[in-house]
Order: sequence, then C-alpha cells, then structure tokens
Amino acid sequence: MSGRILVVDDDRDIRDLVAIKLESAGHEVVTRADGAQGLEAGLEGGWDVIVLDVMMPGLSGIDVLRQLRDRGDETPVILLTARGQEKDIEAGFAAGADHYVTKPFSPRALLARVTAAIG
Amino acid sequence: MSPPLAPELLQAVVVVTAALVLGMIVALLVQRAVRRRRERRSAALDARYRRLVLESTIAEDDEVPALLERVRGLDDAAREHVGRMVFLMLRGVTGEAADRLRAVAVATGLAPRVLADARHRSAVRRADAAEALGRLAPEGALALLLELADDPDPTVRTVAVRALGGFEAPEAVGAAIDALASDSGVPSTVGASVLLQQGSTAGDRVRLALHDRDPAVRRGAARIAGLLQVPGCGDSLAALVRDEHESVRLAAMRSLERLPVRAALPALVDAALRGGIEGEAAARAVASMPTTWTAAALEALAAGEPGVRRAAGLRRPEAVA
Amino acid sequence: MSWLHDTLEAIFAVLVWPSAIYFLLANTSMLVLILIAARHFARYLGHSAHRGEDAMAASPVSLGVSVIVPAYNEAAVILTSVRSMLDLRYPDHEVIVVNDGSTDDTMRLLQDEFGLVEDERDVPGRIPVRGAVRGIWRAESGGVPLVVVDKENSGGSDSLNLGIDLASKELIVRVDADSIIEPDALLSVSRPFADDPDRVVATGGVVRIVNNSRVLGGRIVELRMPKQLITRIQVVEYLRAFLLGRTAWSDLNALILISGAFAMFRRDVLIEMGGLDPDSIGEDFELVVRIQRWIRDGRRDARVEFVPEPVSWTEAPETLRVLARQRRRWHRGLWEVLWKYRSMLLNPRYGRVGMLALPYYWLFELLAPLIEIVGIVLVVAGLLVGAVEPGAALLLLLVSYGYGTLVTLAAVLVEEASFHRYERWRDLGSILAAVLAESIGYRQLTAVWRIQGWWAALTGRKQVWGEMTRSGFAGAAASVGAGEAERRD
Repeated sequence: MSGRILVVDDDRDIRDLVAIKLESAGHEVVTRADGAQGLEAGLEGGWDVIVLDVMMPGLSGIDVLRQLRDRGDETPVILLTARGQEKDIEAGFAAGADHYVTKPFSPRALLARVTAAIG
Repeated sequence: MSPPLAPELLQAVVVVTAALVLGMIVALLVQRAVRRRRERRSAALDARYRRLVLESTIAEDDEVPALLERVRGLDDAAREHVGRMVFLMLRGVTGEAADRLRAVAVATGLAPRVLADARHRSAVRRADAAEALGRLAPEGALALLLELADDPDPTVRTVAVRALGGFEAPEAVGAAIDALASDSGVPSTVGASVLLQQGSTAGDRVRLALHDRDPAVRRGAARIAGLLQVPGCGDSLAALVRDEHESVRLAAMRSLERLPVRAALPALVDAALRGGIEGEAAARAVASMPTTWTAAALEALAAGEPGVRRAAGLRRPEAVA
Repeated sequence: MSWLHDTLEAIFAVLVWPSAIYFLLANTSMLVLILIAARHFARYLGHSAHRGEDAMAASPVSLGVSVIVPAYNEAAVILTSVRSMLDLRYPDHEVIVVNDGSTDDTMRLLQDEFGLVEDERDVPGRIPVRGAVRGIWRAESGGVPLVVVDKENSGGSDSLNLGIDLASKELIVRVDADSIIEPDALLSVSRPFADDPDRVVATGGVVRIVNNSRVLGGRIVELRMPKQLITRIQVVEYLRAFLLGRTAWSDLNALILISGAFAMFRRDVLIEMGGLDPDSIGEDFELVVRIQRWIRDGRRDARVEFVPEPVSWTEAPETLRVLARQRRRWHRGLWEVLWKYRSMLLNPRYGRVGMLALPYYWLFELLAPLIEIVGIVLVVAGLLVGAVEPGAALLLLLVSYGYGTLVTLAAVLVEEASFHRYERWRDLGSILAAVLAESIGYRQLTAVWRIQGWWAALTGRKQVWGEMTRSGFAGAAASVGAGEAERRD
C-alpha cells in the first residue's frame, strides 16, 4: 500500500535519505526544508504520514505538530529526534505525535514505521 | 614639529598603513571569491553524484557490486567528493544503509587514506582520522583507535576515545575507563559518555572502577553506574556517598537518583543536613527514591536548610499551613 | 592671538612626547592582541570538527544548565522567547523566568500558555534579594522544567539574583528575553566547563547584532546587514570587540569582561560571590572582575574563558539618541567598576589581570575618548592660530584613523575566515563601508558620549546614592532574603 508522505527536515542528507528509501517502496514523497514551509505543506492536507524533524531553526517540529493538531489535523506523525534528547520524545508525545525514530536512524526501520502508520 | 612626529616618519607610516589596508581588503575579497568557487564546484559535483550515493543505500544486494564499480571508476576529484558526502551522511544513519555507505567509502579509496592519516605528523590530521575511523569503521580501525587513544596530543586522544563509543570490544571499554583517569587529558564527560554508549558490555569494568584509587575514575564510574543500571553496584554507590572527594560524592548522589539503593539513605540524609550544593544533591537523590523507603528520611530533611528542602521537594512552611 | 599661538605651541611641546608614546603603546598593544587572537583562531578552527558537540548534545552526563530570563514588560516577545529557550539543543537544562514586576501582560501570558501551577517548594534564600516575591510557579514543557517567579520590580540584576537562588543545575546562564539565542548556544558556551570542570568558572560567547535579519519563532532564518549606517558600524564594532579583544584576553587568561547578554557561570561560584551587585551599572563587568579578584585572592586554579562562537543576537540602537544613552551608560559602568577595583591596578598579586588587562582598560578604554577629544580640540585650535601646519595635522589624522581601520579590518578578515555569516556580496560591501565610516564622525561622537557618561558618574554620584537610600533599597538588601520575602499566598 502506497501513500503520500511529507518529510520535513532541515538537514538535506537526512531529507534525501528518507525520501529515497520511502520512494523505493512506492510512496509519493514531498520534502520541505524548514518548519514554516513544513507547516504550510502540512496544512494543505492530503497526507497519509508526516515525518517531522524536531530540531529545526525557526519553527521546531514540535511547534509544527502542535499547530497541526490545534487545527484538528489527525494525520499520523513520526518524529525524528536526536539520540539523547529524551525530552524531545516526551514533548513530542505531549504534542500529539504517533511515533518517533531517533537519529542516527535506520531508513529500513523508518520505512517499517511509515508502513505501519499507513496500514 | 618635534622629532617623534617628524613628517617623514608619519608619511612612511601612512603609506605602510594604507598599503596594509588595501592588502587586507584584497585578501578579504580573494578569500571570499575562492570560497565561493569551491562551493560552486562542490555543488556541481553534488548534482552529478548525489543520486549515486543515495541509491547505494537502497540498492538490492545484487546491484551493489555494479554501483561500487561505478564509484571506483570515477576520477580523483569526484571520488574525493563522494567520500566526503558519504562521510557526512554517515552522521545520520545506521543499519543496512550505513553499511552500504561504508562500502561506498571504501570504494572511493577513503579507507586507506584514513588509515594512513592515523599516523600523520599533524595532530589535526590524526584527529580527523580518529573521527573517520569511528564513523567508517574500516578493517583495523579498532587497533588504530586504541593507539590514538594514547596519542601525545590531548585533542587526538579525546576524539579517539569518543570514536571508541561505537566499539564494544573489551579493549575499547578499557580505553574508555583509562580516559577517566585524572591525568588522561580527556574530559571526564567524554569517557563517561563513551561507556554509556558501549552499554551493558561496559558494566563489569564500571563496577570495578567504582573502587579505583584515582578519584577521577571513581567519579566517572559513579556518574554512569546509575544511568547504565549496572547490576550489583548498589552497595559500592552507597559507600561512595561518604567518599573523601566531594566530586565523587556528588557523582554517586546523581547516580542514586536513577538507581535507588535503600542502604544509601542514612549517608544521604547526613549529607543533606550538612547543606550547601552537596546537601541539595543528596536531598534530590532521597526525593527520587520510592516513597515507601523515604518517609523517615524526608521527615529528617524537614529540619534542613531551605535549599535542601527545596531540592527534596518539601513545601514552604506557610504553604503547608 | 599671539599669546594663544605661543600657549598652544608650549602645550604641543610638552604633549608631543607623551602623546607619541601613548599612540605607540595603544597601537602596539592592539597589534599584539590581534596576533594573539589570530594564533588562537588558527588553532581553534583547525580543531573545529573535533569538538564533539553532537556527542555532548546526546550525552546525559553533560553538566546541567539553568537558563535565567529576567523579564520586565516583555509581553511582545516573552512567549516566543521562552519557547525558544525550552527548545535549545541541550540534554539537561531548565528555564527560570523572573518577572520583574512587569506592568503589562507578561505574567498572564506565561500563565495561560504554559499552564503554570504553584510551586510550593521552599526558597533557598542564599543570595540576598530586594524585590519581594509575589509567587512562584512551575510547569514542565516537553521534559524541560520551567519555573516562573513573579516579584516586585527591583531591576535586572536583582531579578537575576533571585533566579540564581532558585536554580538547581550546575551551570547558570543569563539570557535577555529580547535576544535571539543560537540553537546550539548552550553546547558551545558550556563546552569549556565540560573540558575542564575543575578549573573553568565562567565563560562567555560572541554577541552579535540582529537588526534587519529575518527572525522566525525566536530563531534567525536569514541574516542581513542592518539598514542604518550607525547600526552597521555597530556590527563592525561588535566583531572587533568579540573576535579580537576577548579572544586575545581569554588566551592570556586575563579576561575581565564577558557580555552579560550570554555569560555562563558555575552556580556554586555565583552563590559564593553573593550574585550580582544590584547597584552596579556595569554589573556583568563588575561580576567578572570580582571573580578574577576572588580567583587571585584565594590563589585558586581557576579561569574565565571566552568561546569565540556566535551564541546570542541582540537588537542594537538605530537612532543616535538611544545609542548615546547606551554609550553613556557603558562608560559610566566602566568607570565605576575600574574605580571600585582600583586597588587591583598594577598590583602584581593579581597577575596578568592587574598588570595587563586592567591597565589596558584604564588607558585605552576609559581614557581613550578623553585623549581623542582633547587631541582633536588642540589640533583644530592649533590649525586656527597657525601653531600646527595643515600638512602635519592631516598626516596625523591619516595615521591614527588608518591604523584604526586596519585593526577593524583584521576582525572582518577573521570573521570571513571563520564563520562568514554575512554571505551576500552586498553585505560584505556594506561591512567595508562601515569600517571606513566608523572613523569619520562615529568615533568622535561616541567619544563625546563616553566622556558625558564618565562626567555624569563623577558629578552625580552622591545624588544616585541618595535616591537609593530614600527608596529603602539599601536597608532591605542586608536583611531580606528571598525566603523571608513577602509572598502573595
């Protein structure tokens, strides 16, 4: 089952690595490079899953998530958090995240999460 | 005018200053132009080879040899660029994708260069090599990193020890323990963080290190024993609350917040009642233990100074009323 | 007119040697500072990839940091500001907001946004605080503890002291509510503590100017040069002060000024020092000099270190009026601190701080505006009555300003080699224009303001003290700790 996935991360390497893995599994992937653009794209709707980096300049992933949830958007969200920032995970769940993956991440494991979230 | 401000001298100074000002402006412009050109060139290489590197992370097993062959066939500049790209990407990924990227790195010829750089004359190059050895983990990396962990330059030692976090061999754990020593020149948080990364394989060595003669080693071990949940170190941690060195005592108290040990309570209460920063740390440790153990201890802390009472989470007298 | 002519000639004859020596000393010492800073930078940048900030960010054993934000009428920025502090990349930090009796909505906004609950824990009261505490609140936001204290108005330093008293982590950093903090600021500034935990007692980072940059959610998304020339010149001034001056003094282990806008201290040391002096105008300068004295008096193996990395961005004055006020205040603070610690000056007991840093600040910071203005007046007068040849005067002018330009350019060069944050060619152009423009008008104006500030300090001292006694602050300071202060509950 394939879906439309929004990937928001300010790190180009991560964005590309996530995108190519998800595309290889047949998903349609759109990427955004910062929180503000990510929020804008998120609000357009029509996503099956949103992959959000937490630590971004400007709007953080948590801010984006909070604003999405405030407007009643229930799209499954997977957060990318840095290892050792356990507080991000807490904050993420409090803001309405569905899953998290810590960086450095395994693209395969992330794909499995995305697939589970769609199905 | 008098001699010190003779016009000839001033004129000479003006000319020299003006020349220097111009020279610096030129240097500034050249520097920026060179940097811009380098960035443009790198962007061009990126545009050509990025896709190739990314594809390696999702390639099927049977496609890999062909991909690596393509990498090996690139010209020097391109291979170097691909190597750098892979090196940066490796910061973000683990698992199968990381293994693939490492294979690409080997194909670019990065590994032999890194191995050679580990013995380079320049400390900066050796430190670079240590970092790369950790991230690329080529054959022989562990032995070289252990060597670099004893490097004469403290920065190289620090980077090497940090890189050992990815290795779980007993020697790697040993090097991290050695790095805790007061004369290692490696910041103690680095050794401690590496042991945390090595995880449960480090447990036995950490337990032993709690009894080391060097207070810096005891401090480092005490700090992470709780975070690592090292089994069977409760009594030792409790004893370290009465260690002769303040920093060891503080580290033990922090650890007890994560690894509650009932036998430590009397020593913690004593320390808390002595007050100060250490009193606060002791009180925090008490407050984080199960309430079924601590009722009497908290009651005793009510007599402590306000800072200690705050750390123990005790309310202000007016607030209680 | 001939008597004036003769007098001026006599003055020149007397002053020519001292001024030549002063000029030579000033330039040579600046040159030496540049060389030291350049050497330091070359080494620092060589290892820039090896600082392990990612590892530090991921490590639970990193030292804890209490971020203290004094806030007086900051309703416009407080929420963004607190959010961005909570979001800083660091494994173990807490945020303490001290509402300094704001008359706007600051307190209510915080309460609504973070769902604060009353913090009924005891108050340590280790540092005397003047402003009475009205209430303490707390919340947990995303795993980072937030404490909000509401107190009566008593000034920024006193608010900070209350924050220090309530802090619970090993390190303390003060942040202004209206400044922008780099996401990695805590990592950069705390690194010296992690590298050398037994010796480092205080650190500071580079403060820069944010005017005209695009800011979103408390973070800079696009850095641009300010629009006004006077603000552009300040950008250049900041580069010079931070990238050359402080780097060099830190390298000499004689740093006596780290900017209060982002300075980090060990909490136990701050408590031992009794916090900031709430009466001091240059409170950040005062504290660091006091710490340096404490280090040397106790023969402690401790140091104050500077991290040449941008950490905090601040809004600089855009009008002459505001700039004038700022510079008067700065110079007044400088004078008060130098005078207060005059016993350290040229006192070998205080090592390089007493023998190098303080003499430098006296001679080339405190006295510089006076000497500059006197020099200009004399030369102009001399020109008018014909005691100075126009050619010689012009040469003199060219030498002194040419040299100043050279020093500033060195700082710009260091910035270009290291951080190169101003990426656009246009911005580089306006930096160069600002470097040249600084010598024409700006320097002389600031010199006048600085003298005014100094004069105000010399003449207005008693009056200031009188006011303070009348409002009852001085008496309250000795006896009222935060713990005993009046509370609303």
